[in-house]
Amino acid sequence: MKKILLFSKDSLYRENMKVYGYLFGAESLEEGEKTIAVVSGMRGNEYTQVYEASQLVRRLRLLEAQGCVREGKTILVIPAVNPYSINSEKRFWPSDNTDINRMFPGYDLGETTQRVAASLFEVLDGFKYGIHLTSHYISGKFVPHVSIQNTGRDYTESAKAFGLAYIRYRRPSHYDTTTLNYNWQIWNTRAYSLYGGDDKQVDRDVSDRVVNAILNFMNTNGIVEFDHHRGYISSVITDEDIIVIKSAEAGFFDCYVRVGEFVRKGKKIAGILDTGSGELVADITAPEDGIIFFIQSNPLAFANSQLMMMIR
Amino acid sequence: MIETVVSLNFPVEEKLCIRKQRILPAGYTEKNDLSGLKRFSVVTGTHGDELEGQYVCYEVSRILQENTDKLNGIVDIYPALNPLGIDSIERGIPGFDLDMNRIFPGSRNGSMAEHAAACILEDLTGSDMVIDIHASNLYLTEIPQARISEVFAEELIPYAKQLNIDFIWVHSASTVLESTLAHSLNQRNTPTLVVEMGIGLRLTQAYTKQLTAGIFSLMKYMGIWEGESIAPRKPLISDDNDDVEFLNAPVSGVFIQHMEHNSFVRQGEVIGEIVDPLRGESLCAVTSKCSGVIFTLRDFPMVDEGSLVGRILREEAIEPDVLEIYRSRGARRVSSLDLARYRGGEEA
Repeated sequence: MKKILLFSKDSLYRENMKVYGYLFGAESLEEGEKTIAVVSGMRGNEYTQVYEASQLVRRLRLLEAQGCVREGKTILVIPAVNPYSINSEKRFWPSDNTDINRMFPGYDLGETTQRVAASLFEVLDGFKYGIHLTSHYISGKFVPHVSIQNTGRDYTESAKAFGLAYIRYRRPSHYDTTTLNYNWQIWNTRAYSLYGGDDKQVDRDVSDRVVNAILNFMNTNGIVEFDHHRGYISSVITDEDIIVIKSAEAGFFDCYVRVGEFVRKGKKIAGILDTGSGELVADITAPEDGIIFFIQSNPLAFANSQLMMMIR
Repeated sequence: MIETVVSLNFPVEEKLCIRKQRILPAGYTEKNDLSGLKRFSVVTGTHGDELEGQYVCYEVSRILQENTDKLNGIVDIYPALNPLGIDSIERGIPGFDLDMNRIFPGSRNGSMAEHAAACILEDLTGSDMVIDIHASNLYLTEIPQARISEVFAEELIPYAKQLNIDFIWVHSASTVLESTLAHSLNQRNTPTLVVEMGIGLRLTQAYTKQLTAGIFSLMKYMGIWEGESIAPRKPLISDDNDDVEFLNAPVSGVFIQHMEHNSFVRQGEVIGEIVDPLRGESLCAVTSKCSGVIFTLRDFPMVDEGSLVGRILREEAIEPDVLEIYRSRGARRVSSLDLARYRGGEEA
């Protein structure tokens, strides 16, 4: 393992922001095939994701010491792309609140986060596989899954190597066209976004599953070699398979189920409580048979807002 | 007449309400058949930190209500598309990650913000003209300008010329900008002009009055207003990306303006400098790489490496008569510092 400084950014009053990568199977990025890059910590509150990347570094270091990284393969793990936001406990860039993951492919003569994105993208360019450990724009917990934006390159089959239960193949919105996943694909990297635990805290159970999934993927693709469990036979789900659960009423969100749970049509899955009287003002029932896929972490329910997602 | 466009419950004893003021010609009420009347809409407050449009909405509403006898159409005024952001001095919607002007056309199945966006779009669609007023951000001051996607330029430029603004900037199409309110409306055959002017969290009265006069001029051009109006000023127009020079901070520090906004600057002249107050050092001068008009200038002093400091419209892109006006004003400097040491930009 080699810890390398990938790029840095200077500041007037703070220490320079240094972005490090952990390299396995090579001494430098210029050496050998650029096989797989794992990127995390692009937002300052993606603690689970940073934890996952750091645990992946730990596991890979042990595997490398045992000679399990295959010759000629290069693995790069970047646990924290955005240390400035993490250290100031801001989700987005501290001084202008912009999101690095809306700045790709970046612009090296542009604004600050465009430059950070450009520096990162220069490092990531040319990798065969790319994994982004990321979080949803609504804070909450997902069933751990792989997400691939549909840019016309259908490689969902290859995502089965993660051994996670679901592969979400989704249509990108306009604002997704500036994300890392989308641009990686345009530049011919097979990009996978991994979603799992809630942000703002470390979910160790989910993290273990995500780290194992990444190692499964590396193993199946001949990047590392060790005995491992294969995981799930994954199902591919599209936008049509997802049901968004909302409430017409606002109040406290009292959820009765957990992510991954199978529910029958008509089952009460949550209630909305009046914030003054404490009375139940609305029942939320499952509109169809399915799996609870996502539950928001906010204890408040806003009217007509997405609270949960189900898979049909 | 105040109408509610969106009403959604908050958890604690409050609703998110997005409202508009509808002003009708004298003698009309909602009970009349309004289908033959043109509709003119003014919207602002998508970004909670952009307040210049507040004064414009107030002035347009006040003048119209005092002169409904001179009005021939419906005028809808939406002063706060993002009331929560305005209240909490936040650009976006508190608790929601995405920029409100990147979620259109919205979705009735989406989050509260996306649901609101869908309702707003539905309400505005069908207007004969929508003016969407923005006010830059906290960092940069802009001259009054219309920003138009090249896709809709041919149709919109004649209207924009009536708005009494200083600049019409036709920009190339961009996928990410297809999620703006203006794009969604233009795509639905509802002509929409985006106006940018001034700076975030402030009212620049000269600009707000200038645009207010322009709105009446445009309404007159469209046959909606019969009262007094001015002859609109002739704007700078750019439809080529190469017309605009971007100035980004080469280092982090404190940016000090040396040149006034909306000045004519010559190639090599110093627009400002970036300093380090801890060490008492001037880190670099920011010099202009071309001659032209500074139409964007940084007002917020802290800069990171890469922060946008200014934008200059090159003199080659300016029509001779307009260029002459700017040249005759000359470069307006804001300080009496010794600029000699930066002559020619040799220290940049």
